[in-house]
Amino acid sequence: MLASHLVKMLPFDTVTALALGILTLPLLSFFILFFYGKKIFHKGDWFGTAIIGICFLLSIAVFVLHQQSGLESIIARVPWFSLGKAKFTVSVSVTSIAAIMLIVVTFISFLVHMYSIEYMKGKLNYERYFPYLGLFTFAMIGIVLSDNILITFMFWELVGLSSYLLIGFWFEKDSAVKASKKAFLVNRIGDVGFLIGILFLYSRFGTFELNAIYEVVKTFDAEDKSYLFFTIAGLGIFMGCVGKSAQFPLQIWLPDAMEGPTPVSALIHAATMVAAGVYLLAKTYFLFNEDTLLIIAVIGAVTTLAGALPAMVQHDIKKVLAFSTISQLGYMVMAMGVKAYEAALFHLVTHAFFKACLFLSVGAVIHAMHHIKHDLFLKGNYLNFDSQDMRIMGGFKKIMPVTFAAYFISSMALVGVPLFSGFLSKDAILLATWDWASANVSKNGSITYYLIPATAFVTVFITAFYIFRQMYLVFFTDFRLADFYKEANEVFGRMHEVPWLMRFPLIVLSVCSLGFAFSINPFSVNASWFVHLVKSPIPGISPEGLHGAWVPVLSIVMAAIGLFMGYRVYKEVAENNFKAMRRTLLASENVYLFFKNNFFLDKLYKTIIIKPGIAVAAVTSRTDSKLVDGFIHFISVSTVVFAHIVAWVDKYVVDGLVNLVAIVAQATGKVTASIQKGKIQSYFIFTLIAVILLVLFLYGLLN
Amino acid sequence: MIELKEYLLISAILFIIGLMIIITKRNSIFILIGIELILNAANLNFVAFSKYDPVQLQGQVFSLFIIIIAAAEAAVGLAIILKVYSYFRTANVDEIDDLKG
Repeated sequence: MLASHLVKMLPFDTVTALALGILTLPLLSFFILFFYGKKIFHKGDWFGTAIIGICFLLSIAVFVLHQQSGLESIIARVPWFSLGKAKFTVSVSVTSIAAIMLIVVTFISFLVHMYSIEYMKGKLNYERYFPYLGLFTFAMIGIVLSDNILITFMFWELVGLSSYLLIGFWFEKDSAVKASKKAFLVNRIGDVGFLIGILFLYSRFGTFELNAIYEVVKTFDAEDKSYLFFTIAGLGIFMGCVGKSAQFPLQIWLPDAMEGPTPVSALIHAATMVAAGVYLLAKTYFLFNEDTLLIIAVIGAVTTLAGALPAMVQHDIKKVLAFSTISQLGYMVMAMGVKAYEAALFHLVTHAFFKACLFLSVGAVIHAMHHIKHDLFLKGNYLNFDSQDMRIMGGFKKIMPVTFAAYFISSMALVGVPLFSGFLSKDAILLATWDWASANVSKNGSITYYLIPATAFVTVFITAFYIFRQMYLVFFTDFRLADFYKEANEVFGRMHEVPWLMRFPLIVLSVCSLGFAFSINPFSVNASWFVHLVKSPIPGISPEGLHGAWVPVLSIVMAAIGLFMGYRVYKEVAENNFKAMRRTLLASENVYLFFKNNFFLDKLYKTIIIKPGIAVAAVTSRTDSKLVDGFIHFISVSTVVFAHIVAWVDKYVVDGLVNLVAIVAQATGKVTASIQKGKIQSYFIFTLIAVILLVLFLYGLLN
Repeated sequence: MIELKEYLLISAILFIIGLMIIITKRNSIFILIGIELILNAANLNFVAFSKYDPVQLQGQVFSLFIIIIAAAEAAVGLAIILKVYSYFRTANVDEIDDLKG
């Protein structure tokens, strides 16, 4: 079933050449800023921002040209190298979803660049920050564009590397170093699966070109695809997605990744890193069979809930959003699993905008907290408070109205309130899960399938609850740091809205979080331009075919209950002066701690994986030092002993023989030399004796 | 009439005397004299044998050559001895042993 004969070299046309330009520009920006960043104006921040801005404009051009061409995918393919008969190619593939992703990635990256100029001003290693952002963008664009899955894997690893560099950007902080290491290592686990999947595909199809594989696979029917091969290859690739998109059980790295600068978190959570996993699923979607999709749906559903529950109890303002991202990624993966391809990608795009907006507005709050800390320090109060702790925030609505507005719009989009973008995509997913479950239930008769839509609906409620909790803690009531330090109130009063460089991205992103940005009719996903652009490679649940008017109603009701519950609980908490926050939140202390610590997954992994791993390492280390080293020592000692014996033999036997020959020669020489002692008369005597002897001899001979 | 035997006897005595001089004397000039005696012993032999060969005179001619060569040899030999003497400040052959093995 080889597909290698379908791999044809295709020249670059305008669209693919432009796409290649979009790919190379951030890399160029990385190199220039990395090596000459200090010499360029303003340490190169405006330069990097401008480069990504150009990329964004080019992305729009690519999108428009691709739409005009009317083709499903535009591919350019050039030879890479060949090993024996196997030829390897590099390809740039522009599809509808790739063009949209290009716009999303470059747009959000551009806004994050712009935001960072202000946010990172005066921070340590400022000139290293922008090249890393450029590298990150480059890697993500590479994943988006490459049709060769091996090249995709390389960019995939490059995304891992650049996230490592950016999460550990403040490397003087021990926790940041640990977080970056954790993110990198946990991602590696997923990548192993991804690589196995890639090699499986290559072993079967003889090529890495996804388009060629698609040409072959699309002729298969469901039975052809039900083989174990497709399940293993699909699960392998899905494992890569589990690592990168922080799905259960590998989601543990994402909350720790909050150690990076906040604009980086926005980039990771919106456009670059975690989106890569879902995008990979979309790219290889045609490979998945029923079994794989079921596993994907279940993992997605588990992740949805596993992300939302801890988000309810976090104190760190960014960690709430991190868990929220896990939960939303769970929605996307779940949608992929229930064959709602369009809905999943739609949610990926809408989520990119509103989550970036959430992170950037939260970043504005953290920025203000830093300023408060700084001003207090200038006034002689050195207070070592955590500027990301929501328990000491509050009242920011008064001083930062634009930030609050942006936060409000994007959080409503996150909850899925009508008129906001999240409503469209999330309801498409909810509808699809319901449809999928009811179809499966009527086919198999098992009601367990309803668990997945049930999880999705419950999570809507939890999402509304935790986001309202955060909004309440951060933006409403009074500034609570003043309860501890009276001076803080005065400083807080002098705070004002963030500068325009930070305000502009917030405004733009909050506009993009409105429902109108995606659909003329903000109540119907079918009216969205997005759904019409994207076409699933396998027959699935298209939003058009969905019915069930009660689903959006239920979701709105759930969201409203969540918001109301959040309001009730936190109003009570506020009236108690935030003393009994824990008690009122959850009845049991244990459940609270269980959620707060992300289900103790870190501890679990430490107990069942890391500790046995270290024990095994200790055993192997002991084996190494005792057994292997002992054996090597024995060998070396015996070699030395043997060498001594050889040396003795050499000295006395071999050298002795040589010396004997020399001594004999010397003695002979002495003896013969004594004959020739320079006395002429003795020579005469010898001659005489010889002549006499000769005469005697001749005489004897004659007779 | 003197017989050949007597000639040969004289010649042999002369030869032995020359040989003894060569072996026993330390002075190089004496050794040269000894060599002359040995050459003359040979000459005597040639002439004696030639006396009994009335037709041809090879022996006498041969001895004439030897006399000439002996004269040249003596000249060369004495010159060498002079040079050796001026270099080593001795004519004693026992002391001139630079060529010993």
